[in-house]
Formats: sequence, structure tokens, C-alpha cells
Amino acid sequence: MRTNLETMAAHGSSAAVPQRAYVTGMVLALGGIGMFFTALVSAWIVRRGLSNGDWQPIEFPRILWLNTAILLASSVALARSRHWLIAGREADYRHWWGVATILGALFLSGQILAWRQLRAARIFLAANPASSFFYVFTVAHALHVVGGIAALVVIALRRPRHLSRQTSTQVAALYWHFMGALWLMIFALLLVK
Amino acid sequence: MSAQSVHSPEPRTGILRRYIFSADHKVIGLQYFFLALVAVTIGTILSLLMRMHLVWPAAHLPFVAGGIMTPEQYLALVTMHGTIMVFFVLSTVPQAGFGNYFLPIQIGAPDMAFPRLNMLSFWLTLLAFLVLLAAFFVPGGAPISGWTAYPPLSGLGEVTGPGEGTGQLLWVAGVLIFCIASLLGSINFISTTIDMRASGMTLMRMPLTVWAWFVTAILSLLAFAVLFAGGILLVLDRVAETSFFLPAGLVVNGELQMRGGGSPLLWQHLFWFFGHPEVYIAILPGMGAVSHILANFSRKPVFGYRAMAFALCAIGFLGFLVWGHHMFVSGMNPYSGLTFSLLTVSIGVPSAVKTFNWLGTLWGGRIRLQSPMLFAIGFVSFFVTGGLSGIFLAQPAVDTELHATYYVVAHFHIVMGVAAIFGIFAATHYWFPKMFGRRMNETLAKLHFWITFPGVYCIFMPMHFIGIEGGVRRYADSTGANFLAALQPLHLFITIAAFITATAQLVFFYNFFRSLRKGEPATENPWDATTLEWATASPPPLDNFGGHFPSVYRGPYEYSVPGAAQDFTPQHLESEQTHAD
Amino acid sequence: MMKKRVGDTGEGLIAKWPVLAPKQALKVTFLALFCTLAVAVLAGRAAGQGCAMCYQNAAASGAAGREALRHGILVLLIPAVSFFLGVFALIYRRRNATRLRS
Repeated sequence: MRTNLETMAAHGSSAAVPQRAYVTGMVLALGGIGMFFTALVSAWIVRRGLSNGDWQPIEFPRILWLNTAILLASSVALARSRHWLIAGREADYRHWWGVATILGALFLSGQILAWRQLRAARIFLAANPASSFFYVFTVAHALHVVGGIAALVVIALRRPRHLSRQTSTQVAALYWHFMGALWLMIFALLLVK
Repeated sequence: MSAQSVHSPEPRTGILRRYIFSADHKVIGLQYFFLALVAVTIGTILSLLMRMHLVWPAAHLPFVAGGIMTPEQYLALVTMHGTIMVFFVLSTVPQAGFGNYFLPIQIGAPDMAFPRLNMLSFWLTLLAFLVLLAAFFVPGGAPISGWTAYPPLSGLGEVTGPGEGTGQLLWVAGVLIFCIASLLGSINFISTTIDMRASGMTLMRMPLTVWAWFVTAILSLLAFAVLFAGGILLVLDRVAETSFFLPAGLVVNGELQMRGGGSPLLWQHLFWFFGHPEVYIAILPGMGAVSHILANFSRKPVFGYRAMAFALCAIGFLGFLVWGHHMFVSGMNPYSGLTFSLLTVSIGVPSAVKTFNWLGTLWGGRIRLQSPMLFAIGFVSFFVTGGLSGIFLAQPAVDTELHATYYVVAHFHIVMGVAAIFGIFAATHYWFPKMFGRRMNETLAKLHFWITFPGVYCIFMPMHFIGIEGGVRRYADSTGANFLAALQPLHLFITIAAFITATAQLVFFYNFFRSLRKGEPATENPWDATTLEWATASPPPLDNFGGHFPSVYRGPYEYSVPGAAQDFTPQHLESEQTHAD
Repeated sequence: MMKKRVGDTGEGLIAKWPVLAPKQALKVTFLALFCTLAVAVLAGRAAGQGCAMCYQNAAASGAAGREALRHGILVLLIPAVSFFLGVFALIYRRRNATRLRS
């Protein structure tokens, strides 16, 4: 539905939202998301320290190493894609954008496999606090990645009308790289016994 | 620099698009405002039921299932009163209500940076409210763990008491949805302030309301994210049998709870890391509005504008560092207590700066004692009174005695339940002409003020004494202990004062709703004010300025400038238009 | 009376910190330090006695638990405070940006 701003823009009024505002918005959103995960990390630290014996480190699913590589690769692909967009090579941009999206989806499938492996080993959410945190971190991250993939798809379909392509890809890239960095932090945390 | 003067026709839209599903920040601001009006009515009724029970524990009260209130039902009232008031009144009107309406206009923008996101924020807030209210109607009723929802009481389900089943779950769900709505709102406020300012609107020319909304939004963004994390973990403890907060070996009502070594302290840290910034979220916009209004009605610039802006930032910043003062009696290391204590009293410094600067703004001014001014001065009075009791509570040794007594109840009600509310009243009376194109009735407004001001002092001052004498908060019935039964006359006095004051609010409601239709039509600038919201029609057109977006040439509080044509110099007028020649 | 120019934000009315001579400044600093130390030394009696379960929980956890609480507190605090300051850095960088011009 149309906002005041779009109505005015349609009538030629210089009432646009500057493109940099969308970047600001994304940076702020990442701050909020980062703070959410920071709170979870703090909870992890405290719960682990106060656990008095019920903290049992879980068997680390090996597939997570592969998943990490896939996610990092998708970030690289996305960066390449933006490089081609700026250079004006439309086909290359779309190609690498697609690669990044597919790698993202592959990462998610890999996460699902990891959860399945844990279930097969009878390590569930409530088994012990270490497994609880494993699921909380990985599921929360995966849900955010789902959102990221949805955005990548929407942008590929050229949907956002009020953002320039430069801005929409920049904003998506910020989010996507942040998800990668976040995963690295979670990964490191989960490796700690 | 000339203003853009492109004619912007208002699009034809139906009532649904124009007033209900609208992305116009003005409509959204009013939607929040009216939501909060409903919330404050419900919250007040709950508090009156509490007051009645405290004085007449054996009475049959309306709305209470089964007639005579049980202690658990009393706690359900405590919980819902606190939750509704803190979230849906104090975290809604000052920021989302007035902020949404006036931030874009005061910085000369046509709307918020992300109007659709803004709309989503409101509808999520409404959903959160409905989910929360649903707790009253499920089996077991509303939760009994207070607005603070400490586990294990809140984390084990029905076994811990009535309302702790579905009721508590709905409570957490409502709060989680509210968190998301707030986060989205904060993103909007901050982006708009950074990127949508009009030409000439530098940081030091922003009205103090804008500064306040800006700092509040940053607090909101960081604090609600942490509450969201805590809430998720609490939900998992409840539905997935995890043990984040639930210790091992708990026996509740004869049943051994099979949980691991979780920590209730962890919840407290996460909750209060949110909870302390939350109270600054409730008060900072009021401070901004008060500065704004005091300058206007004293016909003087805000005394020490720069210091006021920095004080807002300092209070916001320090607000993150003091959450431990809610946990002085949790067994923490006394040196941690000392640290939190010193940081807490240090917030007194910027707060004192603001208070003295408000007084400095008034000093020597040509005071216009109209209703917005009365409420603004009332704010200062209550902020000082409530703030002073906070200084006592900030000492761990003193807090050991006063924690969880009525002294604390007095403190936070005076700062939040009164000062912040007076900020809302001041803002409502001040901006009513702009929002609705009509004036509120000044006589009724003054009547409302002069009953409410002494009324709330009568309600909350005696609570300090009750607390010092050992009156415990959240107790449904203290008459069983002789030393507390002796305080019942004070409780009776408070209850009578509460009823009189609550009734007086009907004057405000009558004035508000009557003026919507029958108020005297308002001009563009009925208060002779300087800021940009007064440079456009009342109410403003769809794009706020009818296509003629202003440029800004001076600071926001240029009142009584020597040599000027009038005793106020609006921000948007070019120099040639301001001198008396 | 100081003639105010258009564009003034009323800075003439702002109270300023008094400028102290070095000796005076040193005195004030020592006084402040002394008061802080005095309060710190006297804090020993401030142990609270309230929630028995919280206390037991914290006491039972030993040194590891106390470390964990300390680290947990820092992990919450430092990112929050950094981000808070970061937003101010951002708005300061964009202080001259307006809606229609960077």
C-alpha cells in the first residue's frame, strides 16, 4: 500500500527518503539482533558457570564444519555479485546472486541435518543446558537466515520499489555478512567445552 | 535556501486506509495514544480494585470471580496493573504516541523514514495488548508473578499457582510481541532523526523533544533485545522443560520438579538489564516535552540547552550501568553493590542539571500559567520528590531495609506513575490544538490539574511511611500482623485519595472527548511557539507541510530575542522576516 | 545585555564550569578521591539478606559461578555501551546531512 511519501513522490514532490536511511536502518536492526545474541551469550556464560555439574558438552556434529564453509562461501558469492552489479555486468551479478542464495539454502539444509544427527544421538533440547543452548543458538540463527534468504529472493525479483538496486543489494549484503559473522561467533562458542 | 513548494494533493482514500490501516505517522501516533487511553483505564480500574482489597480484605468486590478476593487474585491484579501500565501506557504514549506524531514534523520531514514498518509496529503493539489481556479470560486467569515475572514462580507452569499456566504463557507471548514492535519502532525513530532532517536542522537546533526521543529509541533498541532473549529462554523453560532459570531440587506444592541447575539470578540480570533502561524510556520523552513547554510558557530559551541535551544522553548512558540496584538483596558481592550504588547516585548529577536548568528556564520568565505549563511544573515537582527517594534506595545498606516495601512502591509510582503521566498530560494539553485543530477547555484542564496534583501526593506520600514501618509490597492483606495492622488508617487514607483522584480523571476524559468535537477552533500557532510543528496547519496536512517544506535558520527556543519583532522567533523564518523594522 | 544574533541557540545563558587554579583543582581532586575511598571502605556492612534461594544458589556455585556472573555482566554491558556510543558517533558524522542532501 502506498505511503504519503510515495504518493508525493509520484506527484513530483521532492519528498523521497534518502537511500542512506535504509542503510542506517539496517545497521540499527543488526545492532538489535546483535544485542539479542549477546544476551544469549551472556546467559550461556552464566548458566555454564553456575551449572554445578549438569553441564554436559555435546558431541559436536561434524557437518557443522561443512555448513560453516558453505555460509562463508555464500558471503563471498554475494560480495562478488555486488562487485559485478557496480561494474555494470548484469548477467554476472544475477548469476552470483543466485549462487549466494542457493548456498544459503544449502546451509539451512545442513543445519537441519545437524539437528537430525543430534536427535538420532538422543540429544534433545532439554537434555542438558549445553544442548539447550546449542539448539537455541542454531535455531535462532537459522530463523534469521531464513529471513535473509527471503530478502535475497525478493531483491532478485526486483521487488523493493523505493530502494535503488545499489541500496537494496547493499542492505541485503550487510545483513548476510552479519549472519556469517554471527555464525562464526556461535560456532566458536559451541566448540568450547 | 528556498522551501520546496510543490503542490501535493491529498490522495482519495477510504476511511479504512486513511484512519485505520494507515502508514501516516500522525494517524499511527494517535492510534498508539488511543490504545494507551484504553490501557490506562483498565490499569487504573485494576489499581482501584487493589486499593479496595487492601482496606477491606473481606469485602465482595466487582469483577472478582467468586466474590472475595484471594491473595492470588490480588497478585494477578498487581501483575497485570504493572505490566499494562509500564508497557502499554508509559512505554507507548510518550515515545510511540507523541514521538511518532511530532518527531517528523519537528525536524521538517514529511513522514518517518519507514512508514510501513511504523504501521507494523503499531499493529504488533495492539496484538501484544490483546494477547496480554487474554490472560484474564483463560482457565486460571492472569499470572501472579508481578510485572517482573521472576522464575521459578513464572517458569514452572500451573503447579506454582493459579494463572501460572496459560495466563503466564500469554503474558510472556504478549511481552515478546511488544519487544518486536518496540525494536522496529526504535529503528524508525533513530533513522528518521539521523537521515530525515530538513535543511538547516543541525543537531544543536533540534528541539529537546527530538533529543529525548532519539536517546529513548537507542535505549529501546538495546534493552528490548535483551528482554526478548530472556523471554525466549523463559518460554523454553515453561514449554520445553529446559532449565535456564530453574534450579534443581525444587519442591513445589509437594511435587518435586525435575529440573537441572538453572539460575533464577540469570533471569534477574537479564530482566533488570532491560528493566532499568525501561524506566528511562518511560521518563526521558517527558523530560524533553517539559523542557519544550517550560521554554514556551516562560517566553525564554531553555536554560543551558546544550547541557540539557548532554544530560539526556548521560542519563541514557548511565541508565545501562545501574541495573544491579534492583538486586541489592540477591546476595551479591558488597563491592558489586557499591559499584552499582555509586553509578546509580551518579545519575543524580545529570538529573540535577536538568532540574536546575528547568528552574533556570522559569526564573525571570514572563510566565503564562496555562494548563500545559501547570502540568510541566507538576512534572518537575514529582520528578524531584520521586527522584529523592531513589537516592535513599540506591544505598545498599538502606535498601536492605526498604527493598520490597511500600517505600519502593512510592518511589517508582511518583516518578513513573505521576511524573511521567504529568508529562503526558502536559504534552496532551500542549499538542491537542495541533493534533485536532481545536482547543481543550482551559477551565476544565485547570480543575483537573488542581485536583490531581494534591491528589497524587495524598496517594503516594503516605506510602513512604508505610514502607519505612515495614509494610511489604505485593501483600494482599497485612492485617494479620499487629505492627502492620496499625498502618491501616494510612491505607484507608490512600484508598480514599485514590478514588477521588481517579474520579477527577473523568474531568480530563470529558474535556478531551468534548473538545474533539466542540472545542474552540485552533489557529496554526496558539501558544506563540517557535518550533516547526507550529509552522503548519492544525491539524497538519498529509505531508505535514502542504508541499512547502521548511528550512531552519536558528535554534528551537528563540524566545524574547532582543530586537525581534515579537517575543518569539520561529525556527523557519528567514532573518529578514524576524526584525521589527 | 548581549545582542543575540540570529542563529544563536541561547548559548550565552549556559552555565559554565568555573575555571580553577591548578592548586585548587588538585585540592578538589584529592577531596573527591578521599570521599570515594571512604565510602568504599565503609561498604563492607552492606551485604544483603533477602532472597534465601538466590543467595544459596550464588553461594553454592563457588568461584566458577562468581567468575561466570562477572563475565556475563561484562558481556552484556560492553556491547550495549559500545553500540550506544556508536549511534552517537553515527549521528555526529551525519550531523550536517539533511533529508535532501548528504
